[in-house]
Amino acid sequence: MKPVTINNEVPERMIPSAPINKLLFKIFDILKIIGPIKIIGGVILFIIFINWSISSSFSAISLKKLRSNDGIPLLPRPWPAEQSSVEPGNFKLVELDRFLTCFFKIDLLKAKGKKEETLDWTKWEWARVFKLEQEKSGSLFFMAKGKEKSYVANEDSDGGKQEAGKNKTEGKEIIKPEFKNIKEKTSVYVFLAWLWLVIGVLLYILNEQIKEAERRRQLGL
Amino acid sequence: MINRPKNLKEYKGKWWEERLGWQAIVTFLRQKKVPQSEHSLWLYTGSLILLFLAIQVITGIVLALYYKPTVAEANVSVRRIMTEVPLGWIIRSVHFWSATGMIATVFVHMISIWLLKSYRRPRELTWITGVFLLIITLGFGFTGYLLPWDSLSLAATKVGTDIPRVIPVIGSWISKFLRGGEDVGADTLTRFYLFHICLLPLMIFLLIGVHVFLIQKHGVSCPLKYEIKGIRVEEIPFWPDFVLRETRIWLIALGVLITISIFLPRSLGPQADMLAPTPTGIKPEWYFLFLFQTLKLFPSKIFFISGESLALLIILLFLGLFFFLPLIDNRPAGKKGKIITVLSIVMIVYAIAMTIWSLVE
Repeated sequence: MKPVTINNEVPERMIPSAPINKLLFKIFDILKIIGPIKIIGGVILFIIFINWSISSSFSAISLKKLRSNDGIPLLPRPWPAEQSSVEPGNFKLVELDRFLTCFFKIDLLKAKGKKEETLDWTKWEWARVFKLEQEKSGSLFFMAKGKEKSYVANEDSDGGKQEAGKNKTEGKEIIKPEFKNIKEKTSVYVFLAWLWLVIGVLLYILNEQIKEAERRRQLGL
Repeated sequence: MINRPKNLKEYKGKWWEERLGWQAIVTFLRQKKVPQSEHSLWLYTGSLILLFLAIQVITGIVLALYYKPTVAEANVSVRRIMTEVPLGWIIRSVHFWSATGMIATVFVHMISIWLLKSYRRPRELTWITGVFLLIITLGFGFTGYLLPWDSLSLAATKVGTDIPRVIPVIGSWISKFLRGGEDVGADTLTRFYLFHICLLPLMIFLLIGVHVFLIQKHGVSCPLKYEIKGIRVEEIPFWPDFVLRETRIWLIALGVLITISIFLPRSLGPQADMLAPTPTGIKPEWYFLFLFQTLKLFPSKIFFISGESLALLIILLFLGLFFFLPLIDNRPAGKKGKIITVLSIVMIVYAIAMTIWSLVE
């Protein structure tokens, strides 16, 4: 796989220190001292905040969605500061906070024949983030799937052919149950015939017994 | 003078009688009476559910011998059951079809009780335990659906466990509790497996015990028209008359179940990829389709309320009414309740229509 270089330019909205976030946090702080209004104000602001996150063109990695499956919020930042060369499918380091570092393993799906020299965050679509393992060091490994937007477009136009091909290569085809050999097939059919024969005989015996029980009941025995 | 047994058979009989006292049980069953009328067919649905449950337990144990509840191995182990284990695909298929049969019979059983108004005094608690049993049965279906860990089951579980989120206050907690985290993953599979093989069986057997005890205490209800007219309905002994009739139904059901399982076996989808996009056209199992279709009917927003929240609240309201039906329609047994009958029929027709609509869509 061709190495990809990380572009350190990250959209402003992804960074917690973005002006909009600072503003929101300040408003929250002010609301704290106003008393009962803070609840109503907080709710309204929360809705605005969520709507703003969802409406982002970068919604998959918006502040609302970027959470591990443990619910730990992730604040992505390229790290280290200098450009580094990584293998697609390898990892990218993302800082969670000053105490906990997240290793953000990514699986990159690139458009056919297209060389991506730098990894521009905005050109990629990100699925949910999954926690992989926790190490004693306090570092967390996370994994996400990144799809280049042009790849997504190709995938749609191909009508899922790529996905089907991928499944085939990975041995993930649909399993339709069938008889292993003629011996198994014959034995199952013989068993089925025997079963219905037995059921037929038993039903006959049961009918006779029901008649007998009915007769005895009517006689008061 | 001591009565000594005359032969070995009598000796064995006395030996067991001394230890178990089974003659008292036989006498009790002979004395127990069951009403016999044109509605008696409904009575057999209760025992049919138990037959399907027994088949579920037996096939479930066999499947559990090979199944591995981990993300990496769940689908592979089911694949192995279907391709390598001798007759494994038939056992899995029987498990699936008996589950389908059980859920269908539970629905028929509840509808029959509902329309015959057998939930009225003094059988309120029998009805309430029955509703719990219905919910547990659906829980079996829901949790079992994820276990093969194929792409469709993963997507359906994501949708299913996401629905409670719209419930105010506790919704998100319920969703998180079911998933074992924010999203459907390894923890969800472990939890669902635990629910499926441990928690739900424990609950179902406990509730069946209470349900059967209450049926035994209050007896089988007479059809409404006999109670209104004050006609004494004919009764037959539970043993052997009723049991013999039941056995006929059991045999036919068993034959049909095995035949369907062989000719319409359950296939297995490709292994679930947690990072893959949701496949198009996902649908839940047939017993959730009417709810699924109802949710789809609602627009995303109705005034200022989310459509999904409103739909779920309406569904919960109906579930509550269904649950407390004996307290709402609390007339004495034998009184007609035309409004309840009409409402019941409307709801049943609605559920069937929605299911068919979703199937053909």
